[in-house]
Amino acid sequence: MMQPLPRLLVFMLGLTVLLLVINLVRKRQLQERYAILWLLAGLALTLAPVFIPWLDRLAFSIGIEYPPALLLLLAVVGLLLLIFQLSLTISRNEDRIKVLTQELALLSHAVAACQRTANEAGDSTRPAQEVPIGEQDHD
Amino acid sequence: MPLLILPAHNEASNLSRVIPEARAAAPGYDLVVIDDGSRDATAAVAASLGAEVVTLPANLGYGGAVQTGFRYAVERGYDLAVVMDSDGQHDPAGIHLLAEAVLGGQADVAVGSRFHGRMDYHQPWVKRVGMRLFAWTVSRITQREVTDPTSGFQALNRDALRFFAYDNYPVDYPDADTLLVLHYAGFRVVEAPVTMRERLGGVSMHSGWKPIYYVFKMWLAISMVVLRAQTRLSAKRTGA
Repeated sequence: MMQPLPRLLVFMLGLTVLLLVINLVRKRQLQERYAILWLLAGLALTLAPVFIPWLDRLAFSIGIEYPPALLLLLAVVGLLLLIFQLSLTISRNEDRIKVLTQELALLSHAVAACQRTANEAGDSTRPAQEVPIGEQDHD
Repeated sequence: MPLLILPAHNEASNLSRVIPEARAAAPGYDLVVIDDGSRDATAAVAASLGAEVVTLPANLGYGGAVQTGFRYAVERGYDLAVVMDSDGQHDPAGIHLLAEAVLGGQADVAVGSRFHGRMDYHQPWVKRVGMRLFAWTVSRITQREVTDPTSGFQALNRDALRFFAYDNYPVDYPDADTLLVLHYAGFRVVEAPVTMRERLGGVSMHSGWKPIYYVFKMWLAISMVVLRAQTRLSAKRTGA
């Protein structure tokens, strides 16, 4: 059974997480779909003081002698879910970055070729433009 | 006119030898160097030797660079493209051999095999064992002798180029798994004997811990290709 002070601390921590996440979504620094799991985590922490007696009973009923172990197990599962969501996002983003990089390289090449032919066509009324696209960030 | 694709990552020193060699061996070919975010003078060297240069603004990895070459080929309407490493490992004499196998209509993709040809080439043992295993697996599944599925020396026809240009091509190490993807999609792949040499200079992409990572990654990729085929998720060839 948890003492009153730790209960209060866990409650405050949960509240902080909730407020932080809500504020970040409000300021559009965190997208809703990534906020959901964090909100659930915050909610779980906030309500933990209420749930802890139930958790103890649940732990004993499924044969876990040491109830905090169940709490830690749930926490680990929750964190794994969060990380898994990030891995999925990274995979998708890498694919998008690949397509963008390839498209950008091919377009730069095409634009440079256009500029070359335009310059060679000898538009004598205008000065030839020298914009080496794709070379700019190579020093 | 066919296209010769040279993916290059920090290969300035090698390219100055490889490009003239390739030009001499395959005079009728357009030449494009895909500069995979190099930090050295790869792009400048290639351009000074008269090659078309497509510079990726960030390093994508070997497969991402090769796929950029396929897109280039498709967008410019090439009927045939040959991919060759720009580190000097591939003897340009093999270009015609691979191209003929595809142009003769025997295959959609021709892969240069170092084991069909003369072997003057060394590899770390981890990679050698892995390559044997992958070759055996691919041979068993495709019912066709595959001796060197890791070879990046390949010729592809228009259909195969279109199949790989926008999808179906792994970013990092396309090799044995790629041959299986082709097989399941309904493409014909043949091997042709070519000679491979030690790379001329610079750092190989298969050094240090990389052989071990490579073997695990390839094992996973092959398993996934087979799983997709068995669960009817394979990509299919589309007609021209």
